[in-house]
Amino acid sequence: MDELDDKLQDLARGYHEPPAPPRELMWERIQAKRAPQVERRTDVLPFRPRPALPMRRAAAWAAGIAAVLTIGFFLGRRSSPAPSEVAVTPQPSAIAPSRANAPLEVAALAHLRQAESYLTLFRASVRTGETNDLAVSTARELLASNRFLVNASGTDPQMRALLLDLELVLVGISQLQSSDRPEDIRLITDGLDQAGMLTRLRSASPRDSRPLPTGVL
Amino acid sequence: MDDQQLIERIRAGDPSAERALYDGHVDRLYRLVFRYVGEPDVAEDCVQETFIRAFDKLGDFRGDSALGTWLGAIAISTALNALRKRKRASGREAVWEEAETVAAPRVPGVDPDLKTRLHEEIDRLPEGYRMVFLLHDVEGYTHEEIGTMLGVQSGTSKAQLFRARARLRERLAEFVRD
Repeated sequence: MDELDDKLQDLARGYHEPPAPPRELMWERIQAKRAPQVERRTDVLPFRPRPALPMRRAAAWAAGIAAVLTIGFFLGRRSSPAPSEVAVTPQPSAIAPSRANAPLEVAALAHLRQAESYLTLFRASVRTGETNDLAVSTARELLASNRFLVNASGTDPQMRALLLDLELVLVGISQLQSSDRPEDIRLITDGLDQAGMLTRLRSASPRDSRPLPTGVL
Repeated sequence: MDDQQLIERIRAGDPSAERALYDGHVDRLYRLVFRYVGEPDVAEDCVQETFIRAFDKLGDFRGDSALGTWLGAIAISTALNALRKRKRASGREAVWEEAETVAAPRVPGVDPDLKTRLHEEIDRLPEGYRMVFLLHDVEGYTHEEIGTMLGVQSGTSKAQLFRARARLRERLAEFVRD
């Protein structure tokens, strides 16, 4: 660029020199224009309708989830002492139920274990390229439980932070569509790994601390 | 909060995240659009439309480019559409002449004729040249960013900038001789 170009470039900076943008005014207009769309969307949020499932994959997923939950249930039963001998030993990073919020915390523990099992299965299925709509619908169900726990008044801040991070992952899965590319799905598992989600879920709901009743949520 | 986290929160329906995205990008987009359209009302409409479209289409954003570049592409497309409509309605020259009488203050040490002529000649550049010239030489975007925003190769952006400068030099030759 020569001297003339420099001079022209300098003078060109005065061309249509922008004033300060009216930020608030524009934001209000954006909100006003979007209001009808947002209202329409709240009728269907957070989930979009899904196409019908291929039965074989659906059955495989259902069997997988059921197997994980059943194994967890029996392991819990086997390691459970008699009711009179139950002595809860809280671990430093685990959730220790207080008397006042015990039912909620037990529910939270059950939810975290279920989420961990589900996410483990989901990640394995991504590796083999077998994700399907049952994974999506299961994520939606977990999301509903998750939202309930996030909103519960007795949930402690540490637990709420974990649940909010879990929610992001579940929202990502629940919005997957059959047309999504493998790399889009892999973004979710990358996010899982980066957030250390499975490790955090395991730390918050250690399997060997105590058994949990099933069917809490 | 980085762009990806912001997008996840918006997708999850967090309104404060939408506002954060707006605050993070509105100034730059307004500058970009205003440079191109030159009128506050039109620039405001374009920026509003840009964010409305962006919030609607955020689900389609794949992260292939930076979020700012993606928003810039929407803003440019919106501004181009606005200008096309205006051109169809009234013809661009008259609009620019009117704008120039307002937006050409005297700057000490700068030949007012050259400045005015330069602005007129920028107006007369073909749209593709004008856009690349404004994005690169005035707003400081790289050719890679411009390529992504305009949907062209960075080499095309370089070629158009070269031709835009050559056109301006040619048209302003009388001032060069002075």
